[in-house]
Amino acid sequence: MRVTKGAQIVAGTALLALAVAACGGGASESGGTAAGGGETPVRMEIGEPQELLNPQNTTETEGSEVLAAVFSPLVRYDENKQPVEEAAESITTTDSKVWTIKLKAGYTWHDGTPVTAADYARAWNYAALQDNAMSSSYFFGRIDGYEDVHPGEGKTPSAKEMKGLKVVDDSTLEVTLAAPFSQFKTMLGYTAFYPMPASALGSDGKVTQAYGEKPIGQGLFKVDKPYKKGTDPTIELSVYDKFPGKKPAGWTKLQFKVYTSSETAWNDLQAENLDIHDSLPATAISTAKQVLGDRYFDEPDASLGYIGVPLKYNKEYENADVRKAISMAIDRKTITDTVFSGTRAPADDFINPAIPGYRQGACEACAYNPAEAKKLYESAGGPKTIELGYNADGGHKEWIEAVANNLRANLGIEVTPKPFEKFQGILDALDAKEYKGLFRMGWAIDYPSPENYLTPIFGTGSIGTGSNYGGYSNKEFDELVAKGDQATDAAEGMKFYQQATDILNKELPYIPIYFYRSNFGHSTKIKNVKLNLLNQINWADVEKA
Amino acid sequence: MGRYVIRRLIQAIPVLLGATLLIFCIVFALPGDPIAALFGDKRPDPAIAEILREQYHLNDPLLLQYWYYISGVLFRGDFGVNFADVPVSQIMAGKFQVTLNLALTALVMEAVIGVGLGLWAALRRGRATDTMILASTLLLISVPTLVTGFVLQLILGVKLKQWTGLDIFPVAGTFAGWRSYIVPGFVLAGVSVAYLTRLTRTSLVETLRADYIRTATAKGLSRRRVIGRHGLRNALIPLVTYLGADLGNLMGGAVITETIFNLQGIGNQLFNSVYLREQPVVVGIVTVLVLIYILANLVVDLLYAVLDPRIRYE
Repeated sequence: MRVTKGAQIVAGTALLALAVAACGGGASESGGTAAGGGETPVRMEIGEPQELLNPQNTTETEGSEVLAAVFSPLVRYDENKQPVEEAAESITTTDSKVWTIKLKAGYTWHDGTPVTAADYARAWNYAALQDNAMSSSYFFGRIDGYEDVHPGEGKTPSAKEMKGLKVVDDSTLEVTLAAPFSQFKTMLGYTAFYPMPASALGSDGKVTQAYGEKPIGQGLFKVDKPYKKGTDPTIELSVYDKFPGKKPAGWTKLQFKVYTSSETAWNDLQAENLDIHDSLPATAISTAKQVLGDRYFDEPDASLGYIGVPLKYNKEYENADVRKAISMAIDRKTITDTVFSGTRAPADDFINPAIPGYRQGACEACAYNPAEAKKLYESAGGPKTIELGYNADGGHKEWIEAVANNLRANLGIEVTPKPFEKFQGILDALDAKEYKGLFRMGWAIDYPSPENYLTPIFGTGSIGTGSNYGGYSNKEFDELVAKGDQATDAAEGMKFYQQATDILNKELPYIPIYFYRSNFGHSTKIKNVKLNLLNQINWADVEKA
Repeated sequence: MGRYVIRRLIQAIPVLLGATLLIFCIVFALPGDPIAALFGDKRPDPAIAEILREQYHLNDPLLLQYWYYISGVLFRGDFGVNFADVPVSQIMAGKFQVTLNLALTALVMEAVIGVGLGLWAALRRGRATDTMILASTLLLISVPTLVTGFVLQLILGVKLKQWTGLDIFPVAGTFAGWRSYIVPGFVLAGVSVAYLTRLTRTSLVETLRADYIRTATAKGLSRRRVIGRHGLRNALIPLVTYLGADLGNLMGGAVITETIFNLQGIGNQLFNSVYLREQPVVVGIVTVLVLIYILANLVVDLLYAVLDPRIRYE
């Protein structure tokens, strides 16, 4: 063995090094159930937040769920889906243009300093300023002076702060909008409108990495230790003692567990290693109903799925009767029952049932009527071949195929489903005139107002800058929405929004297919779990069982 | 000996540089705009998209982008950041830990079970035991990881706890220390165990027919010594080759197992990062994987010399 001594040593060392490296971090990972010195936290499933935990840069649901526990919004939404003051004492306006926000006394940041109106102005100005590239910037587009801080691509902002934001005193913020908007109060419950403490900003005037890992909020829970995104399997929170609002009875620790697969989280829920799972997989729905019993919930979710029509790009769909015929040829009930196992509901309006303003059956052409559809399609001279574009990354293939089958069978035409890698790819192909077929489209609300289903998707002003990808433009519709915006009371606004929706239901610029549902369940260890309109949990009400 | 190792390690440098450039180009060539992907189904604000593109050098030509990246790595030890500004080194440190634990658990399992079963089958060649082992390995090869993973998770993770109240095998996550890795390690090792069993059996059967085995038996050595010292040792060379190459597979290719058991490891990260076109993350991870392949192969080559004294490196 004389020759091989060296080899033995080297090989042995290398193996040892691997083994040591493997054991190195094993012990340091704290137990999920034992964390927090005795008290088992309430554990909720999330997917990995896309960004660091900075409210002004969080527009997706996972990060928002965490931030909703750390921050207290200006308004929350009551049982009637109306915004009511939470961290605000009052939010008032006389003309829907100038809004006065009075803050409730007693709120402090998790470091003990009081929350002032300047903290709100700081957050909103930071989010709106183009140079900061915050994903929530568009929420502030209605505030007077937004154009100065966010002038658009290639232009330099002429101001750092919006002139429409005025800090009157420590507890009063006056917001002037560029144009009246009756729904402004409804917007204020969203993540982007949370305040920001002065300590969030570093010496360069940007939100620091440390803040994004351990945000300091003014809400019910404080973040216990920095969340190292990409590494930490959990985010640990505990109740903030000086929180002035209602606190949960009998428990203080909250833990968000990061899952990559909702099936796995479902197994963990069954094994009681998880307490709340709010995105049960469609494959588990039927078992979940049985296993969980009254711990299973199925509630409307404010999102909506459509077939988009490229009106701007393709004249073949110009005739509203063609779109109506296509709509009537789609068997929504069967698709939602079979393809989605009942986790979606057939769409019958352009406003989702979770939001005020929904009217059952408002979209008459959304009812399945194959015979009528074929007649109408032929008399309107619809195209002989249809393409159905969808993004292949989001589980849309199955229902698009089902729609294609409906259209083939009921209209007697040729239908080709066309996968794109990402949703953006469809839009790019439309813009480049490489594609001019129908396309799959979804809409998740930004704030729970009927207006949010109208302007951003169908308003003439949203072509190009907003989400009006089809290029629908209707003067009467625009005017009705504007009237709704200018209304000074909610009921009057609603009237105009519904009239605008009537136009959509008649003309079908897009074809609504399904309403999303929230399917969630919880373990036997907790009770009284309720989701709000933004799919966030009212933690103060949750009790240990 | 020492010079051989150093030479091999120096040879690794151009391989690593080449690999980073190649991966960089491949990720660069993927269709779609990574910034747009950050905004999901909404079209990003053009002004913001532009600022982000500028910030992550996405408007620059490929080679310049590569230079920014590689100069950061070489001169500052900085592996860059992903699109959420999280340092890649932080991501890699956490995820490689998990993956390494998983891969080594799997490697130990496949070595022990695979060689053990193969040895048993070879010694009982042609009899019922042999046939049974061969049949069961065939079964193991043909059942996809996805199935074994979910089934074992349901039985050992969920049902066992519900029936007995004992929390022996956690359903998912890394919260239970080394116990977290047993079931996923086994699932990951499954297919390799089967291959290794068959490889061991064939290799050993062949070796046992060799002249020197007959000589050893004729010398009057004990059966244990004949098989262990002369048979198995010589049969080990193809097995070590397989195990060495498999370590790399286990580390980079555990996407399914990691997803099922919610282990936040490298396979999953790589999958997501390719999807999001996070060049620095993909390149960083692949570089480390290449390094692991190189080292594992080096160890394999050195082990040859340990196993077979006739092989020398000078």
